Amino acid sequence: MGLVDVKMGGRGKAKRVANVKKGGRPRKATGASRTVKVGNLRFPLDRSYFTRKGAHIWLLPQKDGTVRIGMDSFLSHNAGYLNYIMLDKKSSVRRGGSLGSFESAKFVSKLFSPVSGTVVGVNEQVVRDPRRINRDPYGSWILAIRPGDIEKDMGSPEILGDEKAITKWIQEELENADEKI
Amino acid sequence: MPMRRSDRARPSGSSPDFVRTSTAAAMTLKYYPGKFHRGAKLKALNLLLTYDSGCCARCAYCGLSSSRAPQQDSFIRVDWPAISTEEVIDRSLKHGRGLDRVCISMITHPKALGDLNDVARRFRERTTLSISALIGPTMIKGKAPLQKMKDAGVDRVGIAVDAATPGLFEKFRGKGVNGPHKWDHYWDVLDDAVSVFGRGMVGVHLIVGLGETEKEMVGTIQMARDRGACTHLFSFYPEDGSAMEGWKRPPIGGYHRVQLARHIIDNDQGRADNMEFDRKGRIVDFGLASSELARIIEEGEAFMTSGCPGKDGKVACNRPYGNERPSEKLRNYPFKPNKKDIRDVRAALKDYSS
Repeated sequence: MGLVDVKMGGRGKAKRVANVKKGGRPRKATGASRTVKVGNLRFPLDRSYFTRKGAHIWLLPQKDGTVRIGMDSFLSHNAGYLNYIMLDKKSSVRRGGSLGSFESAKFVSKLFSPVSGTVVGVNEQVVRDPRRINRDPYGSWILAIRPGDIEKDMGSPEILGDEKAITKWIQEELENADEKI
Repeated sequence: MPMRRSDRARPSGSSPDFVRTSTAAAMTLKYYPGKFHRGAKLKALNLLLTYDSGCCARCAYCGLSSSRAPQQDSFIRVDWPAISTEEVIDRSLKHGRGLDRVCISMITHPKALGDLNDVARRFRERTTLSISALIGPTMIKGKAPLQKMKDAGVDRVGIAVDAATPGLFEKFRGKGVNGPHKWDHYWDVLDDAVSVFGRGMVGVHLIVGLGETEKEMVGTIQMARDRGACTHLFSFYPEDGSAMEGWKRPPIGGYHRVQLARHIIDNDQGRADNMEFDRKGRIVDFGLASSELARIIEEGEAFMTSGCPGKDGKVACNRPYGNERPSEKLRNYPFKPNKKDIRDVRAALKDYSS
């Protein structure tokens, strides 16, 4: 794990604007398509990340008040090529609670909810073909949740949206990983 | 960017310049993303020779069978991407710090015997990995080809007899499927392999769950042992598109009982003749003192994957999650089972409900 890149894209075209060594300070960028890049992993800054141990879930608030959630690139990489997404039948969830599980040929783990609320939508395309997540983790939302108290959830220290905090978190996660990504 | 399944699953070249690697090997060599559940580590690379024309055999349970439905290319539950042999070696040198052995598997193909030696020589010349060959006896006549393998660097040989009885072998691998394999020839080649590689250096692969009883399976394990071989067990897993895709897997309790019997026999702690079976052929007495049996169960090694050993004498061919989905109870533990695992195993051993 060596470099931290920050990419900024205007009109859909990514452009490298900073390339600093691990632990260094990435240059500030603006715009909806800003991305923190750490090694081979990307973390778009248009959304937030649920950082509880083992979670690695992104959350993206929608105009209708719901939140779409999906797996970040760290988790989709560690999981391997996904074969199954198995969602619990319950409609009401708590932050940190299980929404179901995901499974590849050699790995299985729970899918954790980043917010408390009610499940209001499932991306059936992703459930039917979970490898969409491997191909495009940030374009493959899994569930839509209507949060009970979004302010409270977003105020949790376990949810990060800030570029510096996300970079630090991912660097620590990679340092603690038993294998290099 | 991960490859699309359609891009990566199809062989793109032939052996000896290309080999197919198991998903676990592809992950370990960093071709595939992913880590192993419960922190398992792969200790042996499993490679498969590959040809555009595929395998000439027609085994009913096998993912490589020429009788299998087109568009299905998994084998033993997972994808096996085709990769340049030299690149596999390069990557095993770069990423394979925990690897101890490579196993090169023949398929039933006229070129396979020569190509196996070619691939083995490449590994011997460039790596320090011990080399196993999983051989196809149908392509082998006499001891000379086995000696050539040994000269190429192979130190251990596996023979996939798979079916535990002559009748099941004939039904699923021989005349029953218009296949080329013959039970007696497999065991003749096993005898030749033991004489070339030495006692204990030949492993017989057996698949539990092809319709045999536990008694029949244990009898075959004992036969292999008496002929100087050891046994490596697999639990049947129905391959999509194979003739047996609708078959059930064997009960986990029966599988663990056979594992325990195998461990006792292969470690010369007891014999099949001293074991007792019920009317359905299920093991009810392993022929050991209860304290001794309890000690073996508690130790857990009996339920770990059986396969060729590494330089430390412990199983290198540990095939993580090769026999079950990671969400299921493990049948072959790729690591030492923990206390909870042993509780599960102990409960399964006592389960005679199916």
